[in-house]
Amino acid sequence: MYQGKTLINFKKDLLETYHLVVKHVRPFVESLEKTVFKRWVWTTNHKRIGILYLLFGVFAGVLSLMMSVLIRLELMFPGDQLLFGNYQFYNVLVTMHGILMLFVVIFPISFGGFGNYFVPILIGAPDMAFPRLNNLSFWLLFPAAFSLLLSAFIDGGAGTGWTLYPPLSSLVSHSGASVDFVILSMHLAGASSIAAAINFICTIFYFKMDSMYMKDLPLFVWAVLITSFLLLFAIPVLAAAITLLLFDRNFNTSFFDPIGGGDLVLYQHLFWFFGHPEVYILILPSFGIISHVVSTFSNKPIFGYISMIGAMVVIGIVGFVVWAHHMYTSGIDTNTRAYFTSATMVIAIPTGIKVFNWVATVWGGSVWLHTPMSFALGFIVLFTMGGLTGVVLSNAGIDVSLHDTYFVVAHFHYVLSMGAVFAIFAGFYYWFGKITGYQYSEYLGQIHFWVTFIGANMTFFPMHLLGLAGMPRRIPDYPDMYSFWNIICSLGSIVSLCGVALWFYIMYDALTSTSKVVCPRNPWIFLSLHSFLGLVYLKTRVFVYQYIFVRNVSFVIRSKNSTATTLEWTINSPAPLHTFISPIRVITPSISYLQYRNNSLCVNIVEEAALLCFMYKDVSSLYSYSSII
Amino acid sequence: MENLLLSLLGTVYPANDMMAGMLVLYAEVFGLISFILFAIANILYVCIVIYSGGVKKRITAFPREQEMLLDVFFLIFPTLAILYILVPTLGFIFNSDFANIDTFVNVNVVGHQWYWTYEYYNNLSILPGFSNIYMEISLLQIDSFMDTDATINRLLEVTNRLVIPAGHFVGLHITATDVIHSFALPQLGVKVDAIPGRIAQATVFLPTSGVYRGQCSELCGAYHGFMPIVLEAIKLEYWYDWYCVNLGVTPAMLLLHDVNFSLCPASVTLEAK
Repeated sequence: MYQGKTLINFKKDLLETYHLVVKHVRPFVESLEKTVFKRWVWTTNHKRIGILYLLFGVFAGVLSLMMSVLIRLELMFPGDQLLFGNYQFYNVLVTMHGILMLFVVIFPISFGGFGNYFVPILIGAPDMAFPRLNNLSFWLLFPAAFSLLLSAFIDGGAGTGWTLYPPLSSLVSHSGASVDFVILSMHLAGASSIAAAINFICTIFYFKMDSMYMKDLPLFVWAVLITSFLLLFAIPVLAAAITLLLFDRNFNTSFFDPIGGGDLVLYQHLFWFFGHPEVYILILPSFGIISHVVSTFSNKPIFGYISMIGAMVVIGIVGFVVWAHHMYTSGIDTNTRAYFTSATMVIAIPTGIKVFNWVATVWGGSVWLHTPMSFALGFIVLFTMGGLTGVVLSNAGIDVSLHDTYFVVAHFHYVLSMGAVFAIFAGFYYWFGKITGYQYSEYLGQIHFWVTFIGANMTFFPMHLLGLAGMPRRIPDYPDMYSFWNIICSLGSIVSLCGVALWFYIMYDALTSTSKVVCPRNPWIFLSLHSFLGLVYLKTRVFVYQYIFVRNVSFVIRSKNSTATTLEWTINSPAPLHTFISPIRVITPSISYLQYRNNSLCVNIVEEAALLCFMYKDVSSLYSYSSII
Repeated sequence: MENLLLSLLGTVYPANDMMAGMLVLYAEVFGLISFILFAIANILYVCIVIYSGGVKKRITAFPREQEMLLDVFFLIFPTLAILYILVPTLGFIFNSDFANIDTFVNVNVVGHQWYWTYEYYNNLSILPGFSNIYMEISLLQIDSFMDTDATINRLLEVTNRLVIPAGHFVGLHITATDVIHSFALPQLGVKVDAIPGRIAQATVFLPTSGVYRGQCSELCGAYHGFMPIVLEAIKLEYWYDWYCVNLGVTPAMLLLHDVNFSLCPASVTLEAK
């Protein structure tokens, strides 16, 4: 097109365009760099990274939820529904749903998000031990999710199931690059997890405030610590397994190829040695969140604190020696099955201790059924149910008939979708005000709980019955006799989808509504009307009729006066960017100081807030200290 | 009565002692876990009602001694519950080990993407007078595809069934050629992964004749849901007839050793419809 003289014109045009770009776009990019990029992309602040983790997890969660809804719509009636007989795509959906939910949704939200945001606050640390590593571990998650999603678009996608069992994931059955991308994605997610785990371990051991002994660490911190150790020991085994698989696929080795002398069951052993601790990695932070919520909303310290910690440690340790219960049908002999049955059942003991302790915490307390507590109580019941069906499945005798049926699907959705996700919702509502500075609508929150509760149970309870009737997992079409419960399941998944849509509306409402409620320092101060009036009478010697009070008085309580059990309620909402820069001072009489269980932590609230306002011009910390009840 | 119980549990109807044993074990575990679940749910419900924050202002924490006692109880109670389940379980696991039992006939079950192949050995011990001769030659090879035209048992009907004699132990040697499959028959309590490079053994016993259906139970590719297993148990004399007809010989020929074994393995293969 451009020839001879016109070529010079072209160069001129190009140059002019370049100058235009330099003139107009570069300042914009630079300003972007100074603002968004500097604040959010190369941030080293644990709170911002935590928020990024949460947002990214929620984004991937919605993606993964959509996949599950597609799966359920395909299974709504017998016959091909909406995938037009593209069964490979169905398998890809199942695989993506599993891997996304495990590596990019639940783990980043409960461990990465809440962990990053609240662990340094809960232990009184200024930030994580390695802030730049923290940033790296978040941004490694992006390429992980990206290559995972990319794999679905290349060469028909990876329809292998999240376990990537070899002959199906080898070159024989998936000759394209899709499985390579899944392996790359798992490597990246694993590297990210290990970085985060090392960071948490160092933070908790070295950055916790001096006045805290290990046994005084909040249970969420303990949960994150144990999870970190599990990650540290489990992820390298996964890395080994999938690297060998990668070698098989690309470098002509035959670790998992029986023709070359390899063994397929070896892969299953390696994978499940990682895979079983992985499920505890997913659920342990949830245990921590639930302990906080149950304790707060029962107005009681957690029952059996030490046994709670011990139970988590035991779960972590025993979780490493039970992996072959995923392989009861893979041809392991009778003695091995007997061992793994016994070892798996042993895990029910510490888990049972935790559940009983939560119940004992609620018992005798003063229970306030706010949304987080609703979710926490829902968690206790439904997680118990998932755990008990886990006892059924741990049983090698029964598992032979239930292995790889919908009973298994029901079981792990009860412990993950209703365990981990309910705990995430509980933690979300519990800490929403602390993170954003605005309180959600309690009314809508309750509706959200009930919609989620009904939807999730409607989706997953009938799966027990399908599994007992023998319906296998991961089939895109099923015999007609299973149709009734499948219709119920699919309707339930739509109800759950409505619940999630409502959840987004609740966030939207809380952040943008004209009557939005500013979250006080500690929103969880519970006072019944009756005792409140008594308080008023004691203070002012004025007797107020309930009627008058309800109509006319809105009362202000100084939240400074209230006691907080954990440190996040002693700082402003939203939490200022930098907290606990000056070390926390514990002001107690010496006897109380030794009696650790009974002490209350008094933080230098006023000085710190003033300091922060002064140093950082942080508008958010200028909110009033008082709360309106 | 049994039907009602089973429909309450939601399980399949057991076809043999193996599955019946599993269901008894399941019922035992089910009773315990439903008791625990209802207990916990009810305690929490009672807590919500009687300890509601609007009603009860003052909390009553457990005294330290009670807390320690309860902690011990919380340790012992799940341990006892687990033992209650574990003892019969271990008994069942060790009793259901049929590794050393004498089987009447052995069948090679080979999984492919996406159909099953059943290879019958010429296991001459099934014939009188030849009990000590055991020649492992696959005489009869049957490919069992899903019958796509079936309307009655959609997705559960095959072109050729796996036919075994009722009332006798049948050994199944299960493997696969391409990817991992799983040979599952829910009513018989059989589920064995077919792993390339390994041969897994399962022993099936059916007291009465009947048709039993299952599906592949390990993700094996796009058509994983479309490789059903149909096992038909028939009386022994009928089974002899079926076997010989499909082999293209008469029972007398088999008895008189009049079959040219060297020609058999590849020659006799039932074609798919």
